[in-house]
Amino acid sequence: MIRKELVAASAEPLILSLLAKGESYGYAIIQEVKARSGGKLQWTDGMLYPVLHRMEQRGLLKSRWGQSETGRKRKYYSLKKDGKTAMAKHHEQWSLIHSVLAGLQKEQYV
Amino acid sequence: MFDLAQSIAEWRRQMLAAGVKTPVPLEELEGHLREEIERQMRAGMDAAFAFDAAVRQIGEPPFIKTEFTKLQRQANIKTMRKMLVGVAALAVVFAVGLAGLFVWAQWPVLARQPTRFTIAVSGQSGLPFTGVIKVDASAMSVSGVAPTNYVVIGRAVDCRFQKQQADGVLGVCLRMNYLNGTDSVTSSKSGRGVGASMSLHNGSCYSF
Repeated sequence: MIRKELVAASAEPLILSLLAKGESYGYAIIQEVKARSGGKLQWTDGMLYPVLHRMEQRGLLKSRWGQSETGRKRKYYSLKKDGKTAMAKHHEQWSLIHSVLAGLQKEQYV
Repeated sequence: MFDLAQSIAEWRRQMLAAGVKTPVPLEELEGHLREEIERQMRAGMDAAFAFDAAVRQIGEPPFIKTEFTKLQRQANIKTMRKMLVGVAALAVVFAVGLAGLFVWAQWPVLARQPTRFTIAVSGQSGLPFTGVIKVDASAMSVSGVAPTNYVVIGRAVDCRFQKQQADGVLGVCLRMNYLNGTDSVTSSKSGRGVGASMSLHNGSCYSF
């Protein structure tokens, strides 16, 4: 299981990257993260909504109320321009961390 | 017998009691809860277990409330910052405006430039008078009947007007650049005349 600090830190870049593919809603975002991480990245579901609302307040996301196929109300989120910029920055920073880690790991095996 | 609808209603009540607000985010959370219950039930879990699992997964009401309280606190701080910036900006605009108004009004004085003076000779209509208007170093004699206005340009003005008959009251009011004016003065009925002087810095009226 991934440490909760890392889970919290990765929430924003993951949400931004998922929404870059198209608008989505809370439950679907959580399910996709679970599926893509093979269940290793577990969010407490209730944690996601404050994060989404905070990102919306910061102008990274916008939202609209819609309906599911069964008529249930759903709040759909999508990226705003600032969200795309933030996502690019996250990718750059996480890639840097990844490359440093990978480089260090490689040196240990030499 | 487990009643799913009643259990969800009770969950809503607990959320509201913990301070989670409706419609946002409670409606959103309830939608999430219902989708998770349905998913669990589709996977073969019975309604009671599915409900318990979904509630655990979504988090306890106090936890949810704490997370949203943090969010609200951040929003409040942001709003307060915006208000402070707005107030500061208004104060700056007000101060600059006030300074501008002062400079505009006092510009002749500050720049020591010649400015416009208006001399209004008033009193009983048709009262004949003579007088002397001195603008800076040059003086000119005038005569006329009240009321009459004179406009002169200079840095300092001194004027004296004398009525040409015993009866009647003569008055004078001297203004600089429409803004700074001496108090107007009127002669007494038995007095001979009125005078006023004004420079870029001060002014006075007198009767004699």
